[in-house]
Amino acid sequence: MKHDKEIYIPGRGIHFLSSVSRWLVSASAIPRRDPFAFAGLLLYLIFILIALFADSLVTHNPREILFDNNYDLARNLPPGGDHILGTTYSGRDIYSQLVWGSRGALLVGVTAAVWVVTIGTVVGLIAGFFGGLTDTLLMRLADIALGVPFLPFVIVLAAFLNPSQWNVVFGIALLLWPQSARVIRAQVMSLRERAFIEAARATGAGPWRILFVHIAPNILSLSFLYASIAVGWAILTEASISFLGFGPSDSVTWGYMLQDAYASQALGRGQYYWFVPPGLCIIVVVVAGFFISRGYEEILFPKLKD
Amino acid sequence: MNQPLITVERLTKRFDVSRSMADILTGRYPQLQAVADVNFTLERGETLGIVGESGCGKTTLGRMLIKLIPASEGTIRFDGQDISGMDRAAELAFRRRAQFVFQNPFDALNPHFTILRSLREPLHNARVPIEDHVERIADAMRMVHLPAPEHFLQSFPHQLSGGQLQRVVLARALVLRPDFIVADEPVSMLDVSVRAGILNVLREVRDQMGLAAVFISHDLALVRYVCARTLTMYLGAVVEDGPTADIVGTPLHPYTKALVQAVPIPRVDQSHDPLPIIGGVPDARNPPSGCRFRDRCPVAQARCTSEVPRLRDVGGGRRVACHFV
Amino acid sequence: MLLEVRNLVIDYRATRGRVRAVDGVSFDVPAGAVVGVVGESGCGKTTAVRAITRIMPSSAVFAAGSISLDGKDLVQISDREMRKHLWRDIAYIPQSAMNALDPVWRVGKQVEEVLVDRGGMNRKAARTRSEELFAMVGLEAKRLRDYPHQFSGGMRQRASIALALALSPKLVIADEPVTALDVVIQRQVLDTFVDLQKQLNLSVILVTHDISVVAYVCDYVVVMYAGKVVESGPVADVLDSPGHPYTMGLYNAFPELGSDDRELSPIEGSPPDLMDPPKGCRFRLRCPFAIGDCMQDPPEHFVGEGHVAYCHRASEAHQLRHKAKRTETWVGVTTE
Repeated sequence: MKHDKEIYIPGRGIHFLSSVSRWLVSASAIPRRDPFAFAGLLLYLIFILIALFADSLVTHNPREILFDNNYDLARNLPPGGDHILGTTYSGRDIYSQLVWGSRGALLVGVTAAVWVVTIGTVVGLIAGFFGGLTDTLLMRLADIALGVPFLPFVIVLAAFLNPSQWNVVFGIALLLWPQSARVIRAQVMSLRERAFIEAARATGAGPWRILFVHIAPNILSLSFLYASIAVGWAILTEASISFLGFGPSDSVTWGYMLQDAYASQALGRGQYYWFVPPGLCIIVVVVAGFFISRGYEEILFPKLKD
Repeated sequence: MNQPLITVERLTKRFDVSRSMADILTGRYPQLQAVADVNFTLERGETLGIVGESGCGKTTLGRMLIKLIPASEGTIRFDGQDISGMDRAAELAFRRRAQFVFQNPFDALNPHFTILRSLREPLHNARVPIEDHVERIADAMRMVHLPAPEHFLQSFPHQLSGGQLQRVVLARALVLRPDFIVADEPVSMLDVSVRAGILNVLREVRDQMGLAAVFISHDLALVRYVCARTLTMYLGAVVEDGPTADIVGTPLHPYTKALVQAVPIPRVDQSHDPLPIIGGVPDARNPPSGCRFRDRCPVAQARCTSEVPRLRDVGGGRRVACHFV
Repeated sequence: MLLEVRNLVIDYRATRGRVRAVDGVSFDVPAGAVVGVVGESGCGKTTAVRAITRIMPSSAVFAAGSISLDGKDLVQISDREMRKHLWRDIAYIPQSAMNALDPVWRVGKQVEEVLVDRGGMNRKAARTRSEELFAMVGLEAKRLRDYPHQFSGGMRQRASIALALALSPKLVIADEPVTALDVVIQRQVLDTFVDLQKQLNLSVILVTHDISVVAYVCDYVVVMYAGKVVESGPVADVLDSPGHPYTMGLYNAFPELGSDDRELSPIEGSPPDLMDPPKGCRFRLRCPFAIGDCMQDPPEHFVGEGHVAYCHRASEAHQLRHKAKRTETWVGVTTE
């Protein structure tokens, strides 16, 4: 019969790929419309590329102490010649440190964001859907996490465990998940009452299936929204920790650069080329994240039309 | 076995309502009796309409019949088996045979699923082998007169019109070839010119598939078009039960009389007589004692305050809950 | 003639472009008459009617046309002048009474506000008048002290009617005033409304999608489709002898309680996208009687006294009506 030949049920793999490509198309609709979101995404892309190709982009080894032709320490050199942004007090090339720092920043940022959002989403889904005791317990946990002062906690954590980038990520993950969890929980609670969820029950879907197959696609955009905010937060946090001196001393990050500049009294010497670039980079990444989230906010919380 | 497909006995549903300060201080937990002591049966292949205004409990009743809401008291038997307290396997078996059509076509389908995906969900949950999916879906689409499957199946709900969506919702309910469906106001959110199409499909499906159906609506004219038998409900109780033509032609219960007269018809020469009902809004939280309709009833007497009228058989397949019929 | 609307054109600015929601709509409202404007969602009836009150969303643009109330132009005047007309000459009853009533004020106070601010009454006179108004709509005076959320749906509609009638306007525009109500309450509110209309000799424009309500309440009816008027005239004539296929189809799509098993026929397809409406007659893609001529704009045809239809085949309406009553006529129209 004509009907039978025309219905084609795609295999799981193809179905998944087409879902992903569809999502990408709709996700890219926003940057096309909102110039801010577009700018934000562009900036992220630039930094990702810099981080990926850091090896080729650095002019010197960022940790290497450099000497000039007279075998003197090449310290505090102003920008020019060999050193695009000059050198630090210990004779290290600032430009290379900056480029290398992008890698650390993005690694921390993205990893932390992924953790924060994963925990937040899962908690939000479960608390919102099952309600009752589960919800109460999870939300009390969230309250505890929210009540803990952020920076001191990460500092203490760094003190107990070895100061390393992963501990910063760990601390961020432990304390920043409640924000996204709460919003996702609220969204799940309203979705729970929708007709298509009742319909899923009526067609025999069990609670876990409903949660992860029926409800989850509807809140994933919210998760991504929080991820884009979390990246900025994480980078800022890592920079703060490093600046305060509690960060790892073996890796070069923007925060480390700021700390180094501060400790070497770069301001007194007017070495703006040393601490302004890393500060600027941090600001740019955080603002880019903010712009992206601003653009996507429109679709998630659309203004009521007339 | 000629037992009815569905037997409803003493079905009651109470909801907790929000407590006022006075309630909290006096330790009261006020409840709303949405469905009060409902009894009826449904035969295989029979279409039953449930009519009443908002707050009468018809929507709650409909959802209880499909096990979407648990009952507070009473039993619902499907093919002899009590539907509460079923284990997972029995419940899945029940859901294969009993389906639901929702009121809002714009909300009844997951916005992230294609139409095909939504139609496959019941098949997937009922563990129907994949080879059979295509045929089942094709059959269901044919039954609801949805054209050109391919292009259509890959669409998303927001790309379709209300009428098309509601047909999809109906197709989804039919894809498992159930024995029983409940349709809750299936056309109230559709444009007028589109309603007729869905109603005709419902009639056709009813005739061709021989399934038992419960059609819930506040619009008696729609129920008249689709259902051979009707129950009228008021504040949670069934007040009249009988063949639709009789209920509309010679309503017996005072509420049904008012309901029938209140429905406007598309003719200029229609009666403008005042309704045989005294104004006043029913408060579902504090229904009147005895007969719930007595404060609006033109023929209420002392007996109605103290005695709750039972749904009595008055011949001709009709039952009425009134002392004076 | 109390109100004359001529060639009204209203656009909406949407993200996709301009949508012409109302495209050349004209109708009259005689003094003391109830005119029903009927059509499906998206036909432009609400937009057209609200344009008379100028209560429109900011994305709406008044593109062309004239509206005159008692000979006075309502289009060219300033917003301030228009506001003077509101409540006093023209009153508006919105679809959901919650849009008319502010939830944080007692209902009585809101009625008094209108009487004092717009009517220039003093507080005492305003209070007396509010009690009068409530009595007129069948609400107890003590209810004036309640808040809107304490009112039931039917009571809120009655309160909106009372509010609308506060300053004895000449014209009342009611936008689907009973659609959200249950059938018994609906009937009671309609009865009250009809009584008041006769008593006060109000002119009314009643917007609805339900032709049964039109049959119950209205003297004249204007049928709209896709932003245009397709038929208008006295209610009895339009319903008994429709001149336009859409009206014929609408009638067949309504289940009627009294009649025995008349088979309903749906109008296949859906209303056109007004961003890109079809050329010529907008109904032709769903019309079982469409012919080649229908690619041109349909002319006005006089079906009877005061009864017009915009259809190329309106002169054959007699035969078409018979055909329209049969379901087969309407099947397969959109697939041809």
